[in-house]
Amino acid sequence: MTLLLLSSLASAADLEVNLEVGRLDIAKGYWDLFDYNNVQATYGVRADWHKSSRLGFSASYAHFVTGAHNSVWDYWEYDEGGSEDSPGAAEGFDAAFRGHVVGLGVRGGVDLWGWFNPYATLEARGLHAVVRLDDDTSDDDNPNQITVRGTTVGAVAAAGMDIRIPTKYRWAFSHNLEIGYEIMAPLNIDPLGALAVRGLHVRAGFGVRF
Amino acid sequence: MTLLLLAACSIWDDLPGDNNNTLDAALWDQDITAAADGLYVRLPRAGDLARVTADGTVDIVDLGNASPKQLILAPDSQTLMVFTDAWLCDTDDTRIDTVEECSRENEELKLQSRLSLVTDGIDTSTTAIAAHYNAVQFSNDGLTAVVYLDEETADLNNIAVDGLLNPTEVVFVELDSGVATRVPVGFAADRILFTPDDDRAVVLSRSKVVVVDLTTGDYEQIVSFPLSLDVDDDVRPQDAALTPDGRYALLTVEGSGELYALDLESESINIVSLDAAPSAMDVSDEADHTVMVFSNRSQVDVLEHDYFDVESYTLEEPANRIAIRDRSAILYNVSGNNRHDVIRMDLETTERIEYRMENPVSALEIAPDGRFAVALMRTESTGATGLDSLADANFGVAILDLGSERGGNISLMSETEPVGLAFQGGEVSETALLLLQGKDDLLQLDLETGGYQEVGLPDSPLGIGSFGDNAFYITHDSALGLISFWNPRAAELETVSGFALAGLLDDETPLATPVED
Repeated sequence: MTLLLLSSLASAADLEVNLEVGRLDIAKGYWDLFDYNNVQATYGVRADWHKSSRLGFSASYAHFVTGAHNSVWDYWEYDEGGSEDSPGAAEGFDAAFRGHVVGLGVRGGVDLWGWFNPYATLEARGLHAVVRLDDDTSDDDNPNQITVRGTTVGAVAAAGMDIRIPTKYRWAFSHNLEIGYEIMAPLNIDPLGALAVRGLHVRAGFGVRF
Repeated sequence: MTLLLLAACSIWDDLPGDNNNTLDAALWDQDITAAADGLYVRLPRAGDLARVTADGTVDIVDLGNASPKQLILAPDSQTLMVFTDAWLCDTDDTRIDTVEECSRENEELKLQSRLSLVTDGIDTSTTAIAAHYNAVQFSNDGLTAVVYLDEETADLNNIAVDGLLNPTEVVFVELDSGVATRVPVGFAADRILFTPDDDRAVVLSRSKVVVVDLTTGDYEQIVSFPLSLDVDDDVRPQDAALTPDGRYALLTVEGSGELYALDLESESINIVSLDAAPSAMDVSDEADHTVMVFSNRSQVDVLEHDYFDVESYTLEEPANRIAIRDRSAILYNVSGNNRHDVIRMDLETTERIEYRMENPVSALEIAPDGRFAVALMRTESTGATGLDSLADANFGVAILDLGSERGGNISLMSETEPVGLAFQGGEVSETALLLLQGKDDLLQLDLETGGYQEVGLPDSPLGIGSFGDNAFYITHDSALGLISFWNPRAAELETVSGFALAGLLDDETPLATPVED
């Protein structure tokens, strides 16, 4: 059924499926809880429907996961003889962040030489975050295995280029690279607080166009 | 197939933990305060105050973005006095709402110390106070509090002096209205006593004692007692107590063998010479006697309150702690030296019963019904052999039968160091609740037999306390917050976890809501 649908679409326009690597900027919030690097690499897949050489639509999904072991340094208690008195100071806790990013976009471009396609795109995005915290990872039954979630929406505006070779067949390998800016509403993860996601958007993909 | 394999894996098995991060403060403070409406917990990293109840509800108390640094519960168990630090930014720019933004804009930051009264999770009154205050003493009726500096517990190196700091004042606070009145009383006042009918407060400071009138609300000084006629003499009160009739204030002085008896009615001072400087002093209201012990003398002194005559009695070992129960005084030593004696002294007959402990005592508590006391004992090194050697190598718990005429006690060896003790049962306490370091069990210790039952705990305990009507809480060694509630009637243990997560993602400190200086 899916193949039939794809072939019917392909008869009207080109389809493109890419595996992609991108980046996501955490601009505000205590991201050190999960990672010292505020820029996260995302991995995903994007499907484009090229209605014509000038107009296309896309749907994408990307994913990233990171985490850190957190320990406690209580300056005041250390000053008084040691931070080991703080609850959980010896074990600390692990924190993990899993992000699911979905996008729906529209792109407009021009065809140059049949294989080079510069374009501009505007994409609406949603980010669903799953945060896991555990202060005793050696024990599967400890009470503090905590999962909290948050969702936010935003947009990406980017310019990119699409290269496809060979051009003489009904299918082609495709490669795209786009750069732009991403902004999202605050990602509220109660009761932990909020993260702000915004900044440079870079995405590169490799796939098949048919 | 892949989905089945994924489902079979625990979701906690794949927590990525390659990065390491160090938080600048603990997520919660184990020294919690048990009020009638719940447990109040400081969240140092978030700068918040949380209220945790046994049903799992966690509320953050709105303190106007001020960060709590100390909690003290009033005698009514409903009013919580919260010392806070509040960051303020000296700017008219309303867009600046965090400490970091204020710094970035090069505006002046100011740290204000405050005292908030919290009832039922709501901040009912907030007053700006001087930064050095850290202690509170309550009147007998619990309606008046005196806020002062306790030098022994103060972190004096971290007190921010803003403008001028006046260490000669204390603050009287009416708890029902929140009205605070600053009263000059003398340099470094650190002890306050209230007369039995709460009409006067006796404030002890260096080389001076003043009596403050509490009947008019003006907090005027009635009388001032100089403790020395030479201004070069720095007389520092050590222990202080009022006689049961409230007429005399008794105080001992650091490094001095003199006991000052201040007559609050005739405004005169009677100085009683002792053989040495007492290490502890306490008053028995029932026997109408004052008891004093000496860390370097095997002696206990008993002072009667009519003529202030002192009777001295010889002990086999020095004692440096006193616990009063009705007409008896329990004398013991926690100095770290190898002292093994606990003495029960009848203050009317002066009869002394000796209890011999296996190991030196580190702490002692008397059960609410007064029939038993429980002593926690530390390890020692004496070169003993056999069973004595085993006892020396282990921490211990001793149950003292306070009705025994022969010093009867049950001595138990402990697997690890005891970290918490509470008594179950209220008026009739037949069971002690005991926590051992690193051991995930609550031990219900039968005070009659020394037998015990274990109740499994979800994590290793840090401490135990009681609240409400014979209910108990146990704090656990868990970074994200873990407290167990033990209901002895139903023999049920409820656990509340994860209450310390608030503000974990916040990386900036909000500016506090202004209050008047």
